[in-house]
Amino acid sequence: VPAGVRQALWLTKSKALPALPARVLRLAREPGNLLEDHEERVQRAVHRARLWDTAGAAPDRESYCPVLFEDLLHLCRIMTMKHPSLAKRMLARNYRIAATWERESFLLQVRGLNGILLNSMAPIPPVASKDEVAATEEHALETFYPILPTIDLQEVTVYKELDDTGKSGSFRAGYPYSHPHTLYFLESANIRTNRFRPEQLRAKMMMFAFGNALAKAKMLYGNDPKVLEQPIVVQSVGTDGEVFQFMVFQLNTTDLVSSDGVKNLVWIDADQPLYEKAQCVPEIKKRVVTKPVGIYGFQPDTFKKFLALYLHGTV
Amino acid sequence: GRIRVRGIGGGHKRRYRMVDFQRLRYEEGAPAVPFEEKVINVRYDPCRSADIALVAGGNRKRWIVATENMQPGDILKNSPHIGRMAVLANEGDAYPLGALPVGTLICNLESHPGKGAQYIRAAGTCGVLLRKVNGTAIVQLPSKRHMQVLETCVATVGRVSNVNHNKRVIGKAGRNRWLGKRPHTGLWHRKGGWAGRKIKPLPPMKSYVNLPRIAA
Repeated sequence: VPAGVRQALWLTKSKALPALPARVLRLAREPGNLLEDHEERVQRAVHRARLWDTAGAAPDRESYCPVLFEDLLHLCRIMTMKHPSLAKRMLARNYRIAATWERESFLLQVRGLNGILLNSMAPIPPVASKDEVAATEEHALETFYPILPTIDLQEVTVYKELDDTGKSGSFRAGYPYSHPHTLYFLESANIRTNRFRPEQLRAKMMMFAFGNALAKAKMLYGNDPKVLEQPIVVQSVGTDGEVFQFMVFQLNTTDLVSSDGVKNLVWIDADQPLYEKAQCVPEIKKRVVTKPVGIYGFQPDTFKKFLALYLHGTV
Repeated sequence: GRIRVRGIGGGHKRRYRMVDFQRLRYEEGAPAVPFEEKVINVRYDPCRSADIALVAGGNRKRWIVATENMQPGDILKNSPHIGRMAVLANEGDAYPLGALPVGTLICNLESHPGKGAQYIRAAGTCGVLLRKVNGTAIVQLPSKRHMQVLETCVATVGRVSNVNHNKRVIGKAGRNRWLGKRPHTGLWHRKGGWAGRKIKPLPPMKSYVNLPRIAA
């Protein structure tokens, strides 16, 4: 069964690229964007989330995942000292998105609570150049004959084809932070079956990023299907507290009925662990401590990419 | 309540997988035309001796009894049409008996069209399509009994999976208990007329076709 990302690529008429765009990676590597002791601060954030909870022996995922996320976001916001235009951002939680589109005789829609959305006053400039966008025309979407691409989707009868960025629902008109910048998804359920698997999480991130971008496009350019001269870019970060998935989605066209023509682009950086293991209780074999308490396998690059996605568009 | 059949009880807990025995089941809203399905996964089923396969086609997934050489990624064809010429059938496809050439090995046979397969489902079994006579077909079951059914009854082509099921060695009494079989009594009985090898003619052909009665 074409689980997860392959199905989402067909539904959003996109082409997947295996790494983050070069511009974002450059932002990640540039030392001017980072504080000198950022690595120590990130480690402190991980320790606070995973180890320093005094209630039980080890904090459960529902508590440590949002705590870690808030700390990482705070570390990103500290960079507003160096780049003052970063202040023009606002977080929104519990915000409903609705977007409808037709895809080759199937009417599809994305509805629901979004995760956490970072809005900004200015949109992110398009990542791929016009030539790369035009080159996607030759790329053929992957079909899954004899399985239809709408397999395992919930069939619903709706009476209103809604396209709503949350603007009419939750935000008033004239809200200054009107462009969706990044979506954050926290898989913080305690039981493993209630959490999305990495492949499914990436598909969920892609569908919601697409929904936000499409709703914004319909608001800016109207409901007619067309190729956008100014592509809309929405970013997406998903995590379960240990492993991060990064995604940049560029909406190039709202002409989604046919499967030919210009495609949308997705850059996916999958399965980036921030740390391998957090030992909360020391491992003792035969009355000798073999693994003391602490964080093992820390990867500073993951936070650099997180920060780069935050800075992208303004720096 | 009295025990009718002795020696049943205990055994490991089993989760039932809802296997679809009617191969020609169409999705709701789909036309009654030949359709294809892709095999996604072939796995062990604790409730039967054969293996089951997860197949997906159109907008739905279902479990079916797997045939001998089914691999993940195969495409299976299900068709209700009976043409003038017999179809060159691949293993795992489902066709009505009237469309298959005489002499093919079949399994998952139904007695009445649309009823769902009730015959030839055990591991490694297969029936043989012997001949086709006006609107009916005659199949030899694994017990060498002959069965006459309408030619629109659907069967799958090939032998049922898990062919070496009868060659397995149980190994210990505990494994029989895991299968839910309790021990026999140890009391010695003299064997009567029921024991020993029997040689008798084949029972008459079983016909599931209601032919019009010739009024005397």
